[in-house]
Amino acid sequence: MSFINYSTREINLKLVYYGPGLGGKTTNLIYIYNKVTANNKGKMISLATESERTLFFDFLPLDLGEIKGYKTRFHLYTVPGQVFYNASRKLILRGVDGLIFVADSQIQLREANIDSFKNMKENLIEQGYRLPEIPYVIQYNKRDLSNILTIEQLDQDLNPGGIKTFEAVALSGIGVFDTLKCISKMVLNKLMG
Amino acid sequence: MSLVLYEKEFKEINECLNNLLLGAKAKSIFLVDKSGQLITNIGDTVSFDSIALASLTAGNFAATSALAQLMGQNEFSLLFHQGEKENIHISVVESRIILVVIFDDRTSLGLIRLRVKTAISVLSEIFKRLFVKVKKEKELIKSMSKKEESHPKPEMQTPSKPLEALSEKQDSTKDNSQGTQTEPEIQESNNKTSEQSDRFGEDFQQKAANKIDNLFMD
Ligand SMILES: Nc1nc2c(ncn2[C@@H]2O[C@H](COP(=O)(O)OP(=O)(O)O)[C@@H](O)[C@H]2O)c(=O)[nH]1
Ligand SMILES: [Mg+2]
Repeated sequence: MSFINYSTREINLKLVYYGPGLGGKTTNLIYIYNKVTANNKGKMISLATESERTLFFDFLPLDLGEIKGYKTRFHLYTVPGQVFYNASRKLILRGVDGLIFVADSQIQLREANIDSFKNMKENLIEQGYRLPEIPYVIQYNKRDLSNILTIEQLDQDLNPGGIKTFEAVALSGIGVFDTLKCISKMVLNKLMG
Repeated sequence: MSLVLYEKEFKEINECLNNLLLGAKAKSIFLVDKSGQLITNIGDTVSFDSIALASLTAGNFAATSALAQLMGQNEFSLLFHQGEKENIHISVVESRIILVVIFDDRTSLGLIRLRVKTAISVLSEIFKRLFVKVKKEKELIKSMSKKEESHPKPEMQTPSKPLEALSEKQDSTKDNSQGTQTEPEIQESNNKTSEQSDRFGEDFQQKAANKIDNLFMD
């Protein structure tokens, strides 16, 4: 949820990385965390299990600095992908301003992508949002692997509306910032009407 | 859905929290939105990473609320975590805002509870008023853009220098912040409000885009 404080001149926006478990959402955040200068980021919080899998959420605050006197921040969240954590996913979607759907390109994860996308739409509707109204982009991750779906196949499954998509190898950072840049601008443009 | 805060309400909120801080002898107080955004914090704010605290509190609260629903309760109205030296007391305002009070053994849970209760009723009033104000403003924006559609060029109905308009508004709200009549002020802010882009200036988006490009670089 966008938070605008005219008194302290602050704007805060919430971006959520959604997608099937092990698709690379946390990897996106880690890459961003490692690349952004210390001045522009806060503490990264990961509520993870011992096996490093996201239990509740990852959180990374990014500080854009001042834009025309307004301190502007993005709060990045990831959801836990495992099917049984749906309650947690709903909570994290609360007040979302922009969504990044991270799909796993591997052939055997085709169903998992489709299910997760469907689950995202359902959870959004439950909270009174409809997808076209919320800015979102899709990231096709793990393009470095060999057993992967074609972009056409992925588009067919996940992108009937023809929205903006990005090919990525989050592990080495390819496509990570392009995705983030695009969604950040979309969210700010929406906010400005 | 978005949360918007203006000078007047922000001042009132901080005043209320300051009274609470002193009255309850608390260490620090955080006001957090349910989506995890920090609204304000007072008292000892250097000992904690306030942005992280806000996000975790909202997460904690959300999880506990879900737990409450699972048990057939609507929501737990307050949470209390006892630490070795510091304790944390969490409650809700107008079912949207989370009030976090951190305190140590210089005070007692009883006193905290008592003062929090008073503060919540004050905060409730402020937020209720704020939500009405924001809603009115939104409706006005809607009706204004409709008017513009039907009359293609109505000689600039809205000021195109929003930041100036904003500071003017802030000054004038200070003047009547004593009184309880909020009506004139709402109208005034309505007169001076147009689209968000007007408020922030036309080149805000371009400036933001440049910042984004510079910051998010491999
Ligand atoms: N080969 C490859 N592995 C990746 C890529 N992105 C993430 N991974 C790996 O996929 C696994 C799951 O990633 P993670 O970010 O934890 O997924 P999450 O559940 O969506 O948060 C980890 O072992 C990552 O190292 C990628 O682009 N290519
Ligand atoms: Mg994860």
